[in-house]
Amino acid sequence: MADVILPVLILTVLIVAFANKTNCYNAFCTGAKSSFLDSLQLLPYIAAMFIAVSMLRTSGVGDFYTQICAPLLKITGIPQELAEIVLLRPFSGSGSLALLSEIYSQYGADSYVSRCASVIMGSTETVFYVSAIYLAKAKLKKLPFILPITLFCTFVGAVLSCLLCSLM
Amino acid sequence: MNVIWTVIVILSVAVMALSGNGNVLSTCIEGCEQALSFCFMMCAFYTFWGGFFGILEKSGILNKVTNVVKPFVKMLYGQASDRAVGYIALNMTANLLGVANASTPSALSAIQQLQEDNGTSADKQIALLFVINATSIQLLPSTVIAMRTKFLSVNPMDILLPTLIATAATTVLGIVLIKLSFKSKQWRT
Repeated sequence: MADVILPVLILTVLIVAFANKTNCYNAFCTGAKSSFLDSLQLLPYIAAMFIAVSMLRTSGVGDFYTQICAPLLKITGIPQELAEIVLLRPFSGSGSLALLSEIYSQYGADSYVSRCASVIMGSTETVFYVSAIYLAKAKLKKLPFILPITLFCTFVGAVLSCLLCSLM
Repeated sequence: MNVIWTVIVILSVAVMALSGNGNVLSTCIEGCEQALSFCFMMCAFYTFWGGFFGILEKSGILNKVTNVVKPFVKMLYGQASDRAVGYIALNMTANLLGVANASTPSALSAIQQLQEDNGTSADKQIALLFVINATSIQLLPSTVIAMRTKFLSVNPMDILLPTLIATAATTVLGIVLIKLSFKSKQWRT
């Protein structure tokens, strides 16, 4: 179904726009140009995040942190095996997808652990990237409360995901 | 952000230097290389969706969608110009459809527009936009389902309901919490 939505959407917009005598080509190029130039500004902020994540993983600090947190997570109902992905998720989208794929191959795509991981991945976001990008664009050094609130919600999401998977 | 980032880097470099676990310089460069290829991909998405949004605008389709969505957006965000409402509407739509790469460009455009319109009082609106996006609101977790299919799950879609509940719950919780925080004096306006 997902494969159909996007083409249908794009098709509908193009046909309606063209029928309304819009110069689609010009509109596209103008919009694309300003978006493209905007996106170039993001590189330094993204680089900062990737460097930090890369260093965390290579130095072993990330692993150490995971080992400390795993027992704490277990109390809230998050399985030990998912400690790494829950802790990595706010920091790295590609990293957590890679972990998800490892979990699937190790435990099978239909096991309880894999289903929990799937729901966690589907209901949370890479908080630190999003904040780096938004704050860069808004030219603000910080916005009060946004990180603690979002991280808290992400954690609640992870706990809720495991709970829901055990019930459904 | 400054505290988190600097502490992480200092800690990691110190550990690497002391334990010889990895080469500091090559890890940094690796991180940059990954960032570059990620940005390359992002630029591609931005260019496409920026262009698509341009068509939506010029053709008047965006106006129609905006009019439908405006009351709801105004209720959530307060004062916002029509253009800002349009960008926010696009952001919500992209999120719901699971087209994550279209949601960031429209969110950024919304941020710019909100700041132009409302100045410093846009801070709270930007925070709200952030919380809604960063807690993820997705009707269809397409990436996860695709991966499960690849790993031969018996029923890849069976995580759909729990995911919907979890994603909606976290977003609602986020909205409630950030709105509660607006009472605090830490906000500029």
